[in-house]
Amino acid sequence: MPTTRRRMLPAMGLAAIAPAQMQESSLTPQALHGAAQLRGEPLAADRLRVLQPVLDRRRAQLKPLRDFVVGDAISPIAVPKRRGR
Amino acid sequence: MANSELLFTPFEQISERIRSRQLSPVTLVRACLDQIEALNPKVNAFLTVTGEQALRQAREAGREIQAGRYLGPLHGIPYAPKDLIATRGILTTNGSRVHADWIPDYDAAVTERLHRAGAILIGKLNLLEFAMGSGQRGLRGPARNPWDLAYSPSGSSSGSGAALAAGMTPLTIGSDTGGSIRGPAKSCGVVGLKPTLGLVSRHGATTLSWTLDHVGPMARTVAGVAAMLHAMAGYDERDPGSAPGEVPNYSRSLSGDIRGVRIGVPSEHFFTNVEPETGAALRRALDTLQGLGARLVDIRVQHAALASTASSVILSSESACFHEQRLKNSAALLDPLVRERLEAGRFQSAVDYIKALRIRTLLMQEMERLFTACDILMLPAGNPPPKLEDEIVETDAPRNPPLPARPDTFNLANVTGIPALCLPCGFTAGPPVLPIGIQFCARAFDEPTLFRVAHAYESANRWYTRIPPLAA
Repeated sequence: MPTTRRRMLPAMGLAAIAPAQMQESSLTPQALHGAAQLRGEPLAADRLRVLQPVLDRRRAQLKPLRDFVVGDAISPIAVPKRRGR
Repeated sequence: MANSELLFTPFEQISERIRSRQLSPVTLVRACLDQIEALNPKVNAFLTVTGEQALRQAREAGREIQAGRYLGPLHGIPYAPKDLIATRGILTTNGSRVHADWIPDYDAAVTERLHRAGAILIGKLNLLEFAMGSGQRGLRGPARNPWDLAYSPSGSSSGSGAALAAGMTPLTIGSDTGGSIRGPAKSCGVVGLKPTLGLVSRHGATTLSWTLDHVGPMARTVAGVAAMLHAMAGYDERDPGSAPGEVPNYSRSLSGDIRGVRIGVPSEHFFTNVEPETGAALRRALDTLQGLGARLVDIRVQHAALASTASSVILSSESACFHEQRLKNSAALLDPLVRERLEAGRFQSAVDYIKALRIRTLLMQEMERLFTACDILMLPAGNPPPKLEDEIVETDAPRNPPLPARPDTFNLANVTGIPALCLPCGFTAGPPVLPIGIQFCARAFDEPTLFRVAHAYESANRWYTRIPPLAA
């Protein structure tokens, strides 16, 4: 199935760039199908059905991370420091 | 001496008996092999037993010690690693049908180092598949908790905890990405350390998450864990995350004196969902520590709740990347939960992943601030283990009714890399009688203070003297 812009947008909701109202609605298997296609790795319908509730739950769990504002000075690279260094 | 008495003698006494030639390594290894033969059909802690090789090494260790070439406190002592630690010439399965026949041609750094210290490999231990499975569909089914076989030993280092509790070996190795050493230590009533990130090389340990993985020692007493860490720790150029620096002799920290040590007790987040019996045991433990001269300090960990979310995103993304080819080529052989988690991880966005890493940096900074206000952070180690059938899940999809909520106690140390140690702090009234655990964390690389406090507490209560009825 070719990926259309209409299918792409819900799919990209997983990548945190969907409109705000998308955050509240459930993911559909069609949206996941579109996301998988975008990656070039189509998933079988039975796998999509397994993953849909899992990803829906994960999306809700991600909300605190997405809502949290990190200061510009904070880098993603860090290692534990020995005392006095 | 009866086998059970020998097998449950604290590490430090066994080690001293071997050093002073009152006990031969062969006698000790034979006792362990007998216990494994008797109990492994029930406990399922060992996937592989290397009996002949262990006896050969024990005879050699005995000869060396007799000849005055004593290597140190691990010489002649048996140990067993979780079966995701590579062992040269010995089956290393990762608990998976995908690796059911894998025999590495190299040793992991930790097994190399323990061999150098004279420890004797006695076998390989059960685990949740690739340290992330359900335990049900792994290679040989789940390990069971020696305190009650109907209960879980927790995972993913399930065999590492169960083997110690059953007296099958005095020392084990686990790995910990989100509590996989500390959970089994808590559930099995033994001691487990997740060391500071970078202190122990992960070379030869199968990856789950490069950012969160730690390899660490487990034993029935703090002294055993301290002696193992001394042998296992140190810079290794083969692990890009390895930290340079001196390795202290951790056994020297076991002074028993904790007067003036500041123990931070968090006022929020970590105690949510802690069961009343566990909460009461933790309060008694704090009273004991105070009685030993420690000072309790109220503390607050900023952004504590973000640790588990960040951990989940990092783990999901990195494990999906690490196992990309296995998912592509061997999906049907994977535990359904492993497959589902790897497939779900491929939907994780890079922006969320990098944001999780930035939150990790923030939490690491918070740990530096926190450990100016206290020397040790006391946390729960979770609730007593659930029934095995309740823990085995095949999907992360929502359940109806939902699984009981658990306290969020382990992720902070994985995300920030600080060391964290779990040990017993009591038992449930029962039935069933199950261990209750306590967790101590310290600033990065301050394992000496961690050992000092844990050992002082352990000496005051001696919970390790209790033995599962199955193993006595």
